[in-house]
Amino acid sequence: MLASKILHDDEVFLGSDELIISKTDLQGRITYANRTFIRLAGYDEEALLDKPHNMIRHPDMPKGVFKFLWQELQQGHEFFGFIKNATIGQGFYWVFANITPDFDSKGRVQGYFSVRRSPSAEAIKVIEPIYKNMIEIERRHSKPDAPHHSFSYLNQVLDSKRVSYERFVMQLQAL
Amino acid sequence: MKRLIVFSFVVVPAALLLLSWYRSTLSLELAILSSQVYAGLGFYLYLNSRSKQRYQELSKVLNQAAQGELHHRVTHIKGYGATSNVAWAINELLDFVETYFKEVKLCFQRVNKQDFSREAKTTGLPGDFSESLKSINIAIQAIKENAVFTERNDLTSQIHELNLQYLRRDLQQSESDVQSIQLDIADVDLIAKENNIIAQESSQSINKMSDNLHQSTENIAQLQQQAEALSKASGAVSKALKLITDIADQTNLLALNASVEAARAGETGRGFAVVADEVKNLSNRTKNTATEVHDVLNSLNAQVEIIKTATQTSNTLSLQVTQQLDSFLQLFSSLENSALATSTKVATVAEHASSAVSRIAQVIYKQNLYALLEEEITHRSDDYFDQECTPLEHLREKTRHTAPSCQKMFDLVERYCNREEDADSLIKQLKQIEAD
Repeated sequence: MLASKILHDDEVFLGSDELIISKTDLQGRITYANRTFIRLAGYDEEALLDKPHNMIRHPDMPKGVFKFLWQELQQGHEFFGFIKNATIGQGFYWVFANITPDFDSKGRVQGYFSVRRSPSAEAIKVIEPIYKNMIEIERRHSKPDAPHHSFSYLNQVLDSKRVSYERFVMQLQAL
Repeated sequence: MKRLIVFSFVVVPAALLLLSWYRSTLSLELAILSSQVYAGLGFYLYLNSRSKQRYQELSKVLNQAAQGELHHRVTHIKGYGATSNVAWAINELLDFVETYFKEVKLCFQRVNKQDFSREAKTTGLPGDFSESLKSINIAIQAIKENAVFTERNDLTSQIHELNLQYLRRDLQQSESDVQSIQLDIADVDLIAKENNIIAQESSQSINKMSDNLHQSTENIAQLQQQAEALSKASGAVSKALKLITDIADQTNLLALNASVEAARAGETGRGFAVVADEVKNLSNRTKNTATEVHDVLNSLNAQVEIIKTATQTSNTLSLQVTQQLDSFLQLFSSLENSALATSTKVATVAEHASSAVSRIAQVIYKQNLYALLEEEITHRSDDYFDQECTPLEHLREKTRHTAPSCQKMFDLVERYCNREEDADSLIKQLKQIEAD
């Protein structure tokens, strides 16, 4: 359904007093979506539950970012990042996402908890061209290798700024 | 309400059916109507059980949250109908609570690893949640500053400790160095004093030698004069001998004439001739003796000449020696003076060394006391009854031999250890002692 959708530049915005909250199981299937999520993405609850979370993934998002996201989560770390999501209609919205592993009472990871906050507009201006370059790099490589190459480019950018990924996105969000 | 439902949906249709059965006229319409009524009743009962199920679902999520499991949510809310708002409200509350606790937990997990870069994100959370996270961020900042301060403090105290440790070691080295200098100086002083005595003794010996030499020079001069006199006397004797020789020659001539006259007189003159012979013999013997004496005199003269030359040489030599002795005497006198000056100087140096030793000892003592004080401050127990300050005892013995300022300081530290002085008064009095 998503693939067939034509995406236009209709941007919708997450308010600074709002949070998008969702939960997934270990495989990334949605187990909970809050009302803000439902409203912004435009799907109703039933359409979201049990679906893979990447159903709202926007084609402008480089795969390298998600590769890093899963890498961090699997090490038990939290992830911060600027994510462009697609709506059911022809729009998109930017978020500053924080994804953390969800532990059960025995300390085992039983899913993931994602809180998306309103991103800094200045941050989007900085991150968008970087993502564009990453997408460009991914296009030049075969599908399995693409995320690896675009992620190394991101690391080069960070190295040139002498900053860690997390520090970089935190500084951007503070702009 | 329930009674009304039971009455209208169960009792009335049942009565109608019974009536129609009694009349044996069960019409199709009535059958349809009653079946519809029972279907409606069945649907009502179904709805009632769904609603109960949803109610159970809501209370289950709330109970789980009450037990600390904040990650459960109510889902499939579409079927909740009128209660869906309640379901969403429960979800939203849980979203805020869970997000809040996640933020707090994630921040402090990092803080525990000395990572202060992770701030709690306040964006999107309402009211007290957001306010509380802001306070937590302020607290994290304070923890960070404290950690930085503690780290810095720790570092400076380590450096300080290192410095103190080596300062004390170096000071002790200096103290023993100065002490050995003191011993060496005492030796130098002894040598200088010995030199002084030797120079004095040498000076006295030279003086005596000089006196003796002067005496000897005078004796030689006297000897010279006497040799001169002897030479003159020998000249006079020579003259006298000439006269005697001349007289002897004339006597010989007279004796010759007498013997000639005696020979002319013949026999009568024979006796006279004997006399004349005897006179001749006498004059010859006189002349011979005079010649012998003259020879002796000549040899004497030669001896006197040798003596004269020898005394002349002696005189010159002794004059030279006297001059050399005089310069020796001056030399020894200045040697004596310089030995005296050395001794005086050494006494001053010894005095300085001694005061350096006591000053260094004082510094070492104070350093030890400061170190002990720091130890006490660092490890001071909050337990009022745990007041042991045993290391102080090691210094008590040394205190007796130190300056009054050190004793004052010891007393002050002891009072502080015994909690008779507070920190402010400790610092104030320490400053006072150091300033004095």
